[in-house]
Amino acid sequence: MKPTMKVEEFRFDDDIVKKFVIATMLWGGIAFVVGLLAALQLAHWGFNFNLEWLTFGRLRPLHTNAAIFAFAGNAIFAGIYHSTQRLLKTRMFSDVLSKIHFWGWQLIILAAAITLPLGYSQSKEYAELEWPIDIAIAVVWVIFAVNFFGTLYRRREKHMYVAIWFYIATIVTVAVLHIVNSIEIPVGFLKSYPVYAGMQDALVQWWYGHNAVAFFLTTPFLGLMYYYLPKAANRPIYSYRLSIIHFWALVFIYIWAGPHHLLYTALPEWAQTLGMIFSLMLWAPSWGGMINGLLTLRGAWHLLRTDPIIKFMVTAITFYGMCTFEGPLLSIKAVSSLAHYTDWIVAHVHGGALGWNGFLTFAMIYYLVPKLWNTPLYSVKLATIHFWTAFLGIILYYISMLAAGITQGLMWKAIGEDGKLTYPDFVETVVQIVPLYWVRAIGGLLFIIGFGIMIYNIYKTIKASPAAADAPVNQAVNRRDEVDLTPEHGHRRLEGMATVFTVLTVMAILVGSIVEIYPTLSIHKYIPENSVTHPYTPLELAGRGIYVKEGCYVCHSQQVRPLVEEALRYGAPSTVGESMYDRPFQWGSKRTGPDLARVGKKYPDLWHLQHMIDPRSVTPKSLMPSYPWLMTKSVDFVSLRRELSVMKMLGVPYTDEEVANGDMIAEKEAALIAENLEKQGAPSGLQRKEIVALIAYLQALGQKAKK
Amino acid sequence: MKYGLQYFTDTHLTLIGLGIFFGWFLLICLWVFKVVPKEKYIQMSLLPFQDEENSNER
Repeated sequence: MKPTMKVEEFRFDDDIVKKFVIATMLWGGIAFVVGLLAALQLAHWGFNFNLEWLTFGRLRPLHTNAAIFAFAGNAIFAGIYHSTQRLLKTRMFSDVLSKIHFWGWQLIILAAAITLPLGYSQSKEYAELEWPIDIAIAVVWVIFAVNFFGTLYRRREKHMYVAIWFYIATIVTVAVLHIVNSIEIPVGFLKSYPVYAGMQDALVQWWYGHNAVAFFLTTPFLGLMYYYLPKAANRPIYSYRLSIIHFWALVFIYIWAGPHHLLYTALPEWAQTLGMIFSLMLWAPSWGGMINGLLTLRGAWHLLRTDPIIKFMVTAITFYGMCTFEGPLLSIKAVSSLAHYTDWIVAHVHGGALGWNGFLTFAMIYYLVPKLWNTPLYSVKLATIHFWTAFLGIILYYISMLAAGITQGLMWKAIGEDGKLTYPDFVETVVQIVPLYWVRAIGGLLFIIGFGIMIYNIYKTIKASPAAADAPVNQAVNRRDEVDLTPEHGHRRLEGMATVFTVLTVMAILVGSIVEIYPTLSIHKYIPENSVTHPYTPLELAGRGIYVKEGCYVCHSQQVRPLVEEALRYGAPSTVGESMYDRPFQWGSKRTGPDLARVGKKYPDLWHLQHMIDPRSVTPKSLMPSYPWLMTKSVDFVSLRRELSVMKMLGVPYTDEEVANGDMIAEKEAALIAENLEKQGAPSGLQRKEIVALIAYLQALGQKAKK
Repeated sequence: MKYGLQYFTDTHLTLIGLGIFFGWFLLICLWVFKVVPKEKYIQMSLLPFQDEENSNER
């Protein structure tokens, strides 16, 4: 150290940490309650209440977005703002940027909470929000990044602790993911079409979707683990070397694994294989990280008996290990053929979200609140009750959904000695698992009760805090520019070079991204002319917009896999060409209802009308919500010209005449369908109603291939 | 799909990507496990505790 270096005094900005902690609890409650309602809707259709803004298709995106971006997002920010200041021995770069980040993020969540139930959705999982909100997310994220990297620049500690590396990876990767996946052309104030189509859109979306899990729900939480676990256990991390390997291996490998969401689809085989192999490679670093976390408690395991924070942390890390074992397992093609589209995936996701993210967040809140508000926790006993209640809830949730997934997957696959499906009627496989949906709802309820206990405990803790005092004064010498007499080598040297470290991280995530995405961007050019499809007619396009708006993709896939049982149930496997004009793609990821890729012309128009208005009238045991408003709401025919124009600009072969007269063409098509419906016994005057456009779209599915 | 793949000529990208991945990964491993005094790593792992030494925070 230079002999002239002086000790500097400064205060941390803990006010922003407090704000994010409170926001975490507020939005967490909303995310969990909406999740419980969605769970009840799957157990009994009546919980949809015949209200369009409360139907499962619109509520499920609200639940996922609230859980990921509102609950987990605010928790991440609270932890990052708190630990970064302490690890770098400086106040955040700008209090103003911190405040803009906080309020901007809350406004974004509010916008999501309003637009998603109203049906404004891009229908891309965890990226449903429409383009103005996408822009707002990008702006707020950049503000966060500037604030974080500004703090990094002003740090007094030369070396960046492992938690900081994980934060850097999170910030740069989420920015890349969000921007690339959100490139879209607006066709209205709250409607847009992605520039990618069909298989390209699917690949980019699941590259994003999988890495949203990796870089929003994993790397930042690992950063929090590496900081808060040693603090709570009062002992350093077990192996610092292992944490370096953990970090770089995760950053390198995770980004490649996205295509495991698209196994057996029309995605090129090489990309599927790449996704599977890299998913399997994730086993090693993930478990390395888990073991590093658990071994940190060597000599402190007695705390597990008495300290609820350690209970939550150990369980969280165990769930991390369990989920990161299960994820690669599910990525093996043979396992995927059974598990994909079933509730096993739902079990897997909730093991991660509730067990890993939820419990680590609760541990962090129990650790932070007494320190931030300068008072002991109101009740350790209540925190322990919270732990056991929530733990029992997760166990019920996970086991019920695992059983439901395997049961349904096996029923879909069952083929008799006569070579026919044992359960040809899809609804048979749904009825079988409804009791497990009730068990899931009970599990969710227990988790919420535990959360309610925490809210009460934290409220009482904060209420008992002494009157606001000045933030504590901290002292540190500025070691950032110190000249050490012993030159540094290896990774330790890199840890003192924030810019180089960040550039290397960006390069690591870009390699896998470019290798996977670039070749698929041009694949549609190679599809022979005689195997491409006809684009949707203007009315079918309008109907597709309603399908997207109602969130049909959350329960119905449009992708027949090349498996015997799927060919028997649905027909020929889906091809790249079939969805080449689909913006956004609608391949789906869950089959609460059957696949719809070949549903066109399978039933008469009147069947579809009755099915949409009252599904039980044609399928008595159906769980599907009723959609009575489709009979009264009118199609916006005029906007079709603009939509067709954007589609043409994106390469869909519409003629100028079709674009110029799109509304009139659609109205003629609608009149024919309405007339046909009336002849079959439907009410008259439906030609301008949404139900007619939706029927036109459903009848076109699987029927657009050039003969 | 088979038509698409028939004309797909960029499969070498996969190999290049994997090569870069493994090369870089091995480099990091070698770098990390170079002989560095154990005290350096212990010092790093104690960073989260330094704020308590230098603060009047409770």
